[in-house]
Amino acid sequence: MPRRPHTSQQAAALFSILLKCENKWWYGYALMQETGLQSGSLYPLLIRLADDGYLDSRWESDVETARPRREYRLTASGKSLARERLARFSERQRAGHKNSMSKAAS
Amino acid sequence: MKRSDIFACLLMRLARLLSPDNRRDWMRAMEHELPHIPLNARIPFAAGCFTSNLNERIHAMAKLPPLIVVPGLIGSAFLSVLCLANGIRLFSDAPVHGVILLFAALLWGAVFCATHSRSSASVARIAVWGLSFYTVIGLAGLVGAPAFSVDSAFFQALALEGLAMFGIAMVIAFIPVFWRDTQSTS
Repeated sequence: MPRRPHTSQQAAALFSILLKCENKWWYGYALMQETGLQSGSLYPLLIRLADDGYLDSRWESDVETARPRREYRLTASGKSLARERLARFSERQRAGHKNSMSKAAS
Repeated sequence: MKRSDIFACLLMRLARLLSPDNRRDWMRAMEHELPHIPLNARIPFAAGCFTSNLNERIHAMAKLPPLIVVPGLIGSAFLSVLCLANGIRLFSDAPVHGVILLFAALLWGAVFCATHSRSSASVARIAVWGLSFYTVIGLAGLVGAPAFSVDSAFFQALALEGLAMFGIAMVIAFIPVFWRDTQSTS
């Protein structure tokens, strides 16, 4: 059965950072630092999000350089998906916490 | 330029070679990010970019028509089974090696079956890694001892056994697909 996209823990970490400053453009390395994800996890996530139209990206334009960096932020649909996924994720965590508490009590 | 930097650049070049056409822009984004990574973190960063591009390449391969992918996978699987059988034969004097190889083959089969029903990309990923691994082991065996020079009957028996195991694994892998298709048509 195909997986539901963007429901992983890594995706949740990325969503929470991207939502923190909704309109800010982020560099890849800054996202790695903030989320703690390695490039091997971060870039495939960014690629999938961009493919699905949830992520906007552009080459930085305000710096004169031969090697401009790529910047990323969520699109409007990306923001609503991120909110929905984060709510679901925290619900799941709460349920997991309740289960472990009841197991410990019994 | 430090040695670690050279290695990171080499990894990025390899990643660029692997990168499919529709991901060239992403590859360029990763390359332009590299100078902004601290020196001691450049190799892990480049390694991550390499695996990302490898995955993208496999993903792009998985989008090929099934008529190309399926015979390719089955053909390479058969080759790997032959190579594996030869590898086992080479190490047959040391039973531990044989057991490890057999266990690894079974593990690969199990992972192949488990991932089969998830998506074509993950199947391709697991299959390509698994098959490459076994082909390398098997080829190492071929270099060590030519397959048909000594005791070819034993080699053929092992190859048949491997093929039978692979056939069973394929049947198990396809059962969920057939089941899903039947459910969706009914």
